Amino acid sequence: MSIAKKSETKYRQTERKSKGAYKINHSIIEKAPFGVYVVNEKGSVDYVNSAMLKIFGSSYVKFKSLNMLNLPVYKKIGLTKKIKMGLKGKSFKIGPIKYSSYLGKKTIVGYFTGIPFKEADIRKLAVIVEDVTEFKQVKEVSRKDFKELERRIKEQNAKLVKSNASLKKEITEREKAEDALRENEERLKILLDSIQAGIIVIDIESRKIVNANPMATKIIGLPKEQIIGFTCYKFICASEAGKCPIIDFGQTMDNSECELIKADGSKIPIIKTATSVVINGRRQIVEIFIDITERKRMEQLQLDMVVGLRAVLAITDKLIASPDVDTLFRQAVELARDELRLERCAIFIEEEDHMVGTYGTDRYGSTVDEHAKRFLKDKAWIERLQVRSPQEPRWTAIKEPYIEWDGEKDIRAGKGWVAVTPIQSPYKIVGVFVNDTMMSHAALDPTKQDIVAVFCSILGHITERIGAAKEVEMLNKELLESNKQLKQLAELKSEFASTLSHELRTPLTAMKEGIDLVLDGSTGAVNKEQKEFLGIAKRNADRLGHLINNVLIFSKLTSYKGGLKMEMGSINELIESVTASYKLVAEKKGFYIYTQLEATDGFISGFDSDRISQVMTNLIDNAIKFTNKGSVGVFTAKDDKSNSVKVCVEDTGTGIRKNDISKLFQSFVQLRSRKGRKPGGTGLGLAICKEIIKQSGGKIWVESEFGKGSKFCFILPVKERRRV
Amino acid sequence: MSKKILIVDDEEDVLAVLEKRVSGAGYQVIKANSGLDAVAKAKKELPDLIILDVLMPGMDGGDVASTLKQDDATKGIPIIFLSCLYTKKDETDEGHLIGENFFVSKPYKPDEFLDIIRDRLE
Repeated sequence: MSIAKKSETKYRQTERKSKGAYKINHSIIEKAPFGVYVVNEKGSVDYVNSAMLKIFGSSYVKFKSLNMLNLPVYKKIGLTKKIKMGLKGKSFKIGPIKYSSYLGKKTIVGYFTGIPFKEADIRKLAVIVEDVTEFKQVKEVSRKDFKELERRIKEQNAKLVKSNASLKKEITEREKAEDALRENEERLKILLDSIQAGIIVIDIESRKIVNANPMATKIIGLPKEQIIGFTCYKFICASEAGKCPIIDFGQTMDNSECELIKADGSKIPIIKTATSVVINGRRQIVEIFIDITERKRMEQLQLDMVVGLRAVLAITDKLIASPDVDTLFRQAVELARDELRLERCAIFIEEEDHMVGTYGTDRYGSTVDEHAKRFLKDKAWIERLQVRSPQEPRWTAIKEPYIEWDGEKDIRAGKGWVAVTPIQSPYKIVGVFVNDTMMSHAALDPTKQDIVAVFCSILGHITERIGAAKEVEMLNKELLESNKQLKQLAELKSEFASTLSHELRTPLTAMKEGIDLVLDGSTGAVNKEQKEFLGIAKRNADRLGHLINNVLIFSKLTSYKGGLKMEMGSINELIESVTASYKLVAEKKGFYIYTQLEATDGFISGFDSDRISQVMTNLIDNAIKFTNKGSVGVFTAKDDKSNSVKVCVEDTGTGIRKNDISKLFQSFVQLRSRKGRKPGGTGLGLAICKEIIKQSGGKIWVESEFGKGSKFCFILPVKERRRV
Repeated sequence: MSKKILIVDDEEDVLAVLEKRVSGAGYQVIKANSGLDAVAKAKKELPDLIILDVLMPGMDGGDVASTLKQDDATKGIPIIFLSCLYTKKDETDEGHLIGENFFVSKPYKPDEFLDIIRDRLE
């Protein structure tokens, strides 16, 4: 063979060999009875054989499109995790696992074997899937047979057991009955032993105690053996021997409250129930009783509390009228001793951490102030008693022996009590009530504590009250004082005004008289010009006089002395006469003044005719002054509803601006107004009118339109009416 | 030629005695009984001095003065205010200069009043 041929053959052989190997491998896998597929790192399928497709129940295309890393079926059986691990290089073998084929068409039992490998440096995983479903089914069938057999054996067994059971049952029931009996007895014994009531059994014939439970022996104070054999009335219903409601009076049951005589002879209150029973053919009495000492004591405490609180209330009634804190506390300690039976009682008053007073007394009536002061020598005592910031009355037992109480041992023995009141008043009361050393109780009983706490609190409230009352009283006094001063000032003012007016009038009279004397020629001839200037002087002196008069009237009206003189009279008559005196003046100015008066049907009582004349004069005077043409009318009208008379003066004059109306009735307004000065005005006229009408019980007002005229009206109450 | 003085007051009586007093001192007197009257007469007559009541109905003394101050023809005319409300220093009857205005309280003392008039006219 040539070298060339040789080498060619070798090459062909090699090629054939390798190609054939692959083909063989491939076809083996392809035709393998087990499923094979290759997964790459991304989870998609690189290869799948037909067995796998059959097992999985899917087409080639479909299987290739699956991602093995998120296949729900695989997730369910935990295969996804394994595949992930396998892709990282870890081989695995799991199974047999029951799982659903693709789309859940059938259930498969299989083994999964994972073999990781590398292809062109890429990690891949070959998964071999063996379907062992059928094998398993065969196994299942054989197991079924086995089970059937087992069942039959069991049935057989059961029949046997059953027949045995009826036999056993008989035995068990007997045992049970015995147990129950024993149990019942036990239970009854436990019940009788542990019950908080005493129970004794009495034989009716002999009246002797035949049995007693432990509580009964405890209450009576004798062991069971010693109790048994005594007659019942040795301990219970002693005074009623021969009067047993059951034995002697034939009752079947008895409920009553009575006394039990203890072994030591002392008596305690009990409540008992006696029942007649028949035990073992013998008539017996079962007597059940409860010690009610504690209950009685509580009842007594409650009663004490009620009595105590009543006492506190009674004391409160007495204390509430105390005029000052000092009296209050002095009375309080005495009443506490007498009524609350607090043998030694002290009240300490504290003001911003300083003791400002102590009150105290003991049952001998002697003061315990000295004790109290000594008691309080140590200023920090309250802190040490820890009774700071009390919201409610609080009690603290004095237990530590740091407080000196000369000659007394009770505080050291813990017999003292302190109550602190929650008071907002200037004082804080700290009451200390110390029990009497002679008393056998170690400390105040809770009832007394509570009562004293209440008492202390009440004292606090009374203190507060007294403080408040004092304050009110003081304020009242101040108010009265300032009121008095104001009155004095007002009187002084009006006094001053009237004095001043009188003083002013005197020189004015001399002036006027002097002018008159020159004018009337008494001092010789007066020429025309002299007459003219004297005329001016006279006119203005008159005006001044008028002014002074008005000031005088106004000050009189507004003073306390300037009351009106009420008289009976006819308002119409008065108005007629005032109006008449102005007729000439009006005519001189060229217009008329007229009246239109409604019959007022009798008399009006209660007006000061002088003053009302003054009002009318003022109003008519004003009307004429401010009217140049037209007329001035005076009207009266009665109003039966309000029982009053309305009087109006209406003019057709200049009228009043709206802004000025409100100022119109104020005093001196005219004098002070910048532009409103009117000829001859005092600025007091309308103020005087208003004051007079007000004091007459009426009302005055004005209606006016600027440029058209004004209407001044007032109403006066009609107090009495009589037919003429 | 005697100086011309305009006297203004709404009260005829006051006007009458003022006129007598001022004219008696040798001055020529013009009278006005209201603010409006005063402004009109001041503009027409151009007086050397105005004696002006403060409190008058309608146009009062202050209004008159400020109206005259707005007119070049009248703004230089000296004014003496007559006031019965001015009480601050009413123990003395001398006039008081408040701002540019000269105040004299009513009632005035005739001699001193005439002295003040003379002063203001110089």
